[in-house]
Amino acid sequence: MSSLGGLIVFAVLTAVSLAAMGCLMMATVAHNQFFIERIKFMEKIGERCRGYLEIESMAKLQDNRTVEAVIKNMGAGSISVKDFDEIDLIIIYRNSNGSIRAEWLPYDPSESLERGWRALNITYNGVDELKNPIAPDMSSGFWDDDESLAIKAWISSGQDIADEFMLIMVAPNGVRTR
Amino acid sequence: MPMGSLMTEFTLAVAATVIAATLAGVYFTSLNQVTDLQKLQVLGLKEQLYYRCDIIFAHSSEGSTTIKFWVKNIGFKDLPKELIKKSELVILNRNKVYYLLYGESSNSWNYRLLNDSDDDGRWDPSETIEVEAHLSESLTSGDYYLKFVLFNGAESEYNLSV
Repeated sequence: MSSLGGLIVFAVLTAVSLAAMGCLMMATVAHNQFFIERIKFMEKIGERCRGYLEIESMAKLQDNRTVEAVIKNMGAGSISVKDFDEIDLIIIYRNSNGSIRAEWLPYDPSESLERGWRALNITYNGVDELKNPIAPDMSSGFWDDDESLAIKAWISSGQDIADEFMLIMVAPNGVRTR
Repeated sequence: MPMGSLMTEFTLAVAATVIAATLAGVYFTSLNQVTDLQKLQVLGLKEQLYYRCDIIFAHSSEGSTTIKFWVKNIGFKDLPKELIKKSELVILNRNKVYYLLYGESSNSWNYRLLNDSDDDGRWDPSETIEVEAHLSESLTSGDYYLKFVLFNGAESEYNLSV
């Protein structure tokens, strides 16, 4: 081939190679980004697999529509008080008519709703918590691992809890009571 | 250099350029297609990863035509109403299979957002919806299997006894 033709072909192939490398790098970057997101997600899943919530005690009060319970955070991660409205609390009970009912209760720190639940306090081994303590008005703080959350829950006035009941609590990250 | 030799070299140079350009064009087109395919694949995988849900609890009773259950968004992204409504519900027991789509009539399901703290009408991560499945027949005593499938195929299962 002539020297001019050879030079042109060489230049075109070099340009193609550079462009191909660029495309390859873009694809690698996209894959890396996806890989990082995947790791984040796996961390979240791992957190969910690792921890759980444990009901330490629960009792029904005399009005037959209010219950109090203490739930321990067993490695579910720190849960901000500000995210308590994302906690699910489901109460399952039998009423005096004999029918089994299940109700999802909204977080209601001011006890203004007909049914709901609110946090009473957070303790660590029976004493005031040491890590990320909550403010008295529940405006800040965390429910951390190994800490116990005392709650009060109430059902609507037209219903009653005749005998035993169950509580299901699910943290914002999906960790639930066992 | 003789004129004939110069013409030959020029012709060869033009031919080589045309061939190289054609090859480069074909190569770039193929490379673009591969890149697009890869992007689509990554997008698809992202979608699978971002949208997930979990049935927390389901409840019904014998003789009822309704099954109520609570589903939590345990993914990364929020779902607008339009996408929530694209979810499907499968309920089966030993004798019957129900395949329910979103709707207001019987043999359909509908939902309400429970803790929509930002009041945006979207199903955000960590938020929960209450789903009511309306069946055309009363439930008889027995075991039921529930499967709630999101628009992207992510699903959650639950076993229920009434």
